[in-house]
Amino acid sequence: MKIKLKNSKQFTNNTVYMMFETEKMIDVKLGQFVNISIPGDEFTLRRPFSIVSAGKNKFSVLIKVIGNGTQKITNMKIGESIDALIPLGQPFDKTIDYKKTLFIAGGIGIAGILRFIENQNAQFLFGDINGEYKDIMDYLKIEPTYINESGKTGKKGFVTDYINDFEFNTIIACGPKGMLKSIKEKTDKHIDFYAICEEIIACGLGLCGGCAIKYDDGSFGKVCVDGPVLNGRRINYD
Amino acid sequence: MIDQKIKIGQTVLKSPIIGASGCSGWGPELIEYNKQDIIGGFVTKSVTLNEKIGNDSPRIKEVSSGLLNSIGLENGGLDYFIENKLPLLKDIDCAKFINLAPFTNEEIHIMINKLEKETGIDGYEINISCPNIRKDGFNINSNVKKSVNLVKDIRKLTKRTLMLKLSPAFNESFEIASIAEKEGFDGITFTNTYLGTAVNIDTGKFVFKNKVAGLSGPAIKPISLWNVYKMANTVKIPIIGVGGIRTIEDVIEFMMIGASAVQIGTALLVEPTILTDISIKLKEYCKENHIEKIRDIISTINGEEK
Repeated sequence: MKIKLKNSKQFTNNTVYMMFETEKMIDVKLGQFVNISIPGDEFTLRRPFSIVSAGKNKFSVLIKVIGNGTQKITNMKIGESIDALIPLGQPFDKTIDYKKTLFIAGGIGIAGILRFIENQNAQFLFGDINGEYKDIMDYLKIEPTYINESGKTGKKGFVTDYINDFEFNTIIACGPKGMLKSIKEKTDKHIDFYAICEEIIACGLGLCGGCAIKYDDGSFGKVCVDGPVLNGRRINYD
Repeated sequence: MIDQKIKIGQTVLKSPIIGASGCSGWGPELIEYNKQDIIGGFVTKSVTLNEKIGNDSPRIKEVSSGLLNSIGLENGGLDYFIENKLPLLKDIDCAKFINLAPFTNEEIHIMINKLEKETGIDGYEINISCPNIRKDGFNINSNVKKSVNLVKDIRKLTKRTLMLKLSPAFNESFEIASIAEKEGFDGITFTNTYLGTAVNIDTGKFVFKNKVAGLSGPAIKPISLWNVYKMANTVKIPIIGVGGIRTIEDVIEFMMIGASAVQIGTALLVEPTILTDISIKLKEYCKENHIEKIRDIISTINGEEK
C-alpha cells in the first residue's frame, strides 16, 4: 500500500526517525516489520525495517543509513509517498511479564526493541560504541541503562558485562550477532531468550527463502516468516 | 472478448503470466497477493527426492538491476511436500506446476511415480539447471549425455504437462531442448539464472559460501530475450520465456520473439501482485492493439507462424 511521509528527524550517526501515514488501516502486532520500496525508477529490492511505533493509519521507523537504498528512503521529503508491504512477519504472541523481562539492544538494534518497551516500565540495557545514540534516547525520552565501549555517556564496557545487574527470566534482544551470541553464552539456558533477527531480506513474504538463519541443529529458519523474533538459544551466530 | 488463453501440453493457462519457481514460494504465499482467476499459474519451489537444507547465508545479494542468489534448493523433500505443501494447492484455481530437481534418473522416476497418485497438479517442470549445487555451478544441464539419459524415459510416466527448465550458462541447452522435444516434452522453460558471483572486498573472499550464484532480474533481460529467440529457432514446442521480466512491454517482447508464455521471478519479490497486474495490463494491451487472441503475437518478430 501507499505510505506518505508525515515527519522525519535526522540524528547524528546517520540515523533518521521517519513517521508515515498509511492509505489503508493497519494492524501491526509486536515483532512485525515493514518492507519499503526505494524511491526512483531503478529496479531494487525493498528494504525491511522494524516498526518502532504504530497506530491505525500511521507507523514509525528508525533507519540507519548504510547504503544507497537507506540513503534514498531517508532522503524522502515530507508529503512524498512510497509503496510498502506492512505488516510482515510473525507476531510475537507471548505474554510479557515486564518485571521479569530484560530488554537488550546494541546500536541500531534499538529499532527492534522500541515498540516492546513503549509506555512500559521496562528493564532496558542499551549499548553503543561512544554514546552516538544519546540524542535519540533523549528525543524518544528513553532512559536505558546506558553502556558504551568508551564509557563516554554511560558505564564502560559491553551490555553483556552488565546482564547480571538485573533480575529476569526472559531476555528480548536486538543487535549485532556478536552481542546475541554473547547473551546466549553468558546466560543460563533456562532463561527464555528471544532474538530479534536481521538478515538480508528480498521479498519478506516467504516466497524466495533468501533470509535464512541457521540453527544449531543445521536446519534453517526464515527471518521474514518464522521471525523476525526467533528463539535466540537455537541460533548459530557464527 | 479477448482470448488470453495459452495451451501448453494438457494445461490451458488463463493468461500467459506464470510465477517462476523459486520466487513463488509453495503457491499459497503467492496467491495471497494475486487473483487466481486472472493469472496463468505458478511453479513451486524445487522439490528434491530427499530433504535439502540449502546453502549457508548470505543467500542473496542485490546487484545493479538484479539479484544474485545462492539458496541451494532448500526444501523438505518429496514426502514432506506431498504431506505438507501439496494439500494447500488443491483449492487453488490456476495452473499449478511442481518443479522437480532430480540428481539422478532414478530420483525423477520415483518422484513422478509418487506424484502421479496425487491430485491438484497440472504438470511438472523438471529442473536440471540449478546453479547453486556445486561450487563450479555445474549440474546435469552442463552434460548433454547425462541430460539426455534423464529426459528420455520421463514421458511414459505421466500424461500431465511436462516442461524442462534449462540454463543459459551452457550451450548444451539447445541440443538438450531438441532431444526433450523428441522425447515428448510439452515445453522448454528458458532461461534459468546466469552464473555470477560477487567478492567481499573487506574480507577478500567470495560473498557466497558456494562461490557461484545465480544472477536474475532486469539486468539479464536482453540476454534472456536473445536466448529465447535462439531457442525458438531450435524447437517447435512452446517456450516459457524467463529472465528479468517486470513490465507488460517485457512480456510482449518475449512473446513476439518466440515465447508462448512467460514466467516472472525476481520482480515478484519486489511487487508480489505483479502477476495479476500484468495479466490485467495484457488484456488492455490486446484491446488497444485490436488483438483478439493473445497467442497470435507469439513469434511474430519475423512474420513467422509458430
